[in-house]
Amino acid sequence: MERSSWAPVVLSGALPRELSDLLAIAILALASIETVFIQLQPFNQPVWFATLLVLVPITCALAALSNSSRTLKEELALFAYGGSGLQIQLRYIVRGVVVSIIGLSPLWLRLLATEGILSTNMILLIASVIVGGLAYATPALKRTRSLAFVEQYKG
Amino acid sequence: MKPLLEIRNISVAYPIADGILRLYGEGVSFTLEEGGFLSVVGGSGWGKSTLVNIVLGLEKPTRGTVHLEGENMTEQSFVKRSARVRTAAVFQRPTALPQLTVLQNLHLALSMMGVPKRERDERIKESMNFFGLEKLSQSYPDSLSAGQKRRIDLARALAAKPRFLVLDEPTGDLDSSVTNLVMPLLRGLNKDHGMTILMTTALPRHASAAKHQIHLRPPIFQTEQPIAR
Repeated sequence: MERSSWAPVVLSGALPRELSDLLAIAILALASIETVFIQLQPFNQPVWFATLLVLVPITCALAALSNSSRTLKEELALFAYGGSGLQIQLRYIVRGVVVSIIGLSPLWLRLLATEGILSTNMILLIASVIVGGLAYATPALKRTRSLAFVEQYKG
Repeated sequence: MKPLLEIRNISVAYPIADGILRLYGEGVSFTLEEGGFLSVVGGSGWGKSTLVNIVLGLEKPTRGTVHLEGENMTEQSFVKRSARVRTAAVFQRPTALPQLTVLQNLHLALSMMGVPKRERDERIKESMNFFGLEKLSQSYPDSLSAGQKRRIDLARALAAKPRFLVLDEPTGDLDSSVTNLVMPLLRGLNKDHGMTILMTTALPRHASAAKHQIHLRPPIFQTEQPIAR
């Protein structure tokens, strides 16, 4: 018997494609560039990490919220195709992570150049990216669990 | 042998302004045997789509239970129900990912079900040919008419070759030429392939395609304190 697969639902939505995703990437990239160029000395760790922990999730959550109409159609279709809530959440987490990774690329490059892969700052940056992914999935979690969502299947 | 679907005394109460809207009166009960074809007939706003959502696990009833092959699945999601009895659904509102072409949508749906690539190609081609969608394969759903979107949904559901097919007013938005194709197709799938079908319709002439019919009662409005669902 055919077994349902997670990969198509998650990977088909992994790449940021909406205008709001691109705006989120631009905002994070600008903030990253500013951090890289202003802090020429080793990072003031608590300050930049606290800034990232505020900026990344808010930017990602706002990007996910702004897609509402197209995203709703997407979610309705994915459920109709047999996708689970968890798969759809994972799809958004991956997309949020990708948005964060691209947006924070100036910081990645700087940390790779100055500190290498295994450093405290790098771990904090990875943590920020994961938080970004979770924040991106939050609006969908609220939306798809509401009664109003399934009402959309009705004519 | 246990029936594939057993609906026991389902009712739904919607809190609305100044009272409660009760669907299905004191409750609706029916069974659908493996290989059965049942039409649920009712007017607009009588709860046909709600019943479909309840059968699929997208909505929970206020009272009553849904059993699949004898197991109580009332609290289980569509995914868990479909893992037990492979189910495909065609909803009243067309469902397709707007950023994918018609062909990509069908491929995604079947790949999510784990259908191998080569078999997917064959099934999709066959299904698209049947519904006259070949020329629309590279179109995006938002550029299509309601009837064309409905045909995509039907093509997707049939390409999935489910054991249990649930259709919510499948001929809505379709012109008479396609409607005339769909009803014999459903009868053929049921008769020749043993597919179990549950279909809702407001039109008695379409309901007659099924082996059995149930007729819903109109909803009841009660002026009470609203209840929480």
